[in-house]
Amino acid sequence: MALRLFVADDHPAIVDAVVRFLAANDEVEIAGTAGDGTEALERIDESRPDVAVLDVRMPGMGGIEVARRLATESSTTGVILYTGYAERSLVVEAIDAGAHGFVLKESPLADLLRAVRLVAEGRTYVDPVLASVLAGPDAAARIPGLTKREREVLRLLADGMRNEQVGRELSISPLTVRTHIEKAMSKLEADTRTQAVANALRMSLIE
Amino acid sequence: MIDRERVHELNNALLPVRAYAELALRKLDRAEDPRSELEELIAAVDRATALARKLRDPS
Repeated sequence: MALRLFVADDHPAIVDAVVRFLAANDEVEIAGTAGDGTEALERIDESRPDVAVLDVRMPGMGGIEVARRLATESSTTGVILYTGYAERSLVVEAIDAGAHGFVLKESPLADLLRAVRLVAEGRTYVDPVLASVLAGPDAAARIPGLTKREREVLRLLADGMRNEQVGRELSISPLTVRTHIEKAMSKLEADTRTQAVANALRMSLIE
Repeated sequence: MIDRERVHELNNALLPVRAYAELALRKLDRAEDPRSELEELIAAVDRATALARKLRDPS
């Protein structure tokens, strides 16, 4: 079954190019497009795509706000924010809003396709260029040592599981899961659990 | 030194250039005619050139 994709950007040339590039893959079907956030939210609600690629900055409502509203509605659409701004605060805000992916417009389009595939599987993708932005300037000098259990918990979170599901999978209580997540967040200097997963993935601490 | 807004505009203008170049290459790999993608590529380069001109001479 084809992966149904939605694309929103206020630059028609970008929507056309991205749609044409991604639709050239047999596995992708375009569910719709929009030129601003309000239109995107309405059409995503109607068409319920698997993944939505949204520009961060659009007239009226930006992609982060669209992601936040979709998360509030418990939408099943995975959101990828697509932007030219490689800024830590933006990535953190996007992830906190419920976005599952963050891709830079300067990256090869093959990276966007990879992000679409991963997010459709319920996983998280953060552009490799943003790894250092997320982890800080001297991250390489202090790669955090996660315990085996912390890595297992992060791995299952990366697969889209909630604390209760992780607990069942590892035969530990949700409270213990939470403790492992908090310790991993601290070691990875992450503000949120999703950011911890993204940092761990980028540092190759989990696969 | 150009500011972040201009960099953003430039990235927006360059993205279609990359997309249509990659699509044209893919068609060539499959021995298909890439004319349509190359025409879009030229249009995208024209838009990027217009933007560069605007950045050079804002008035």
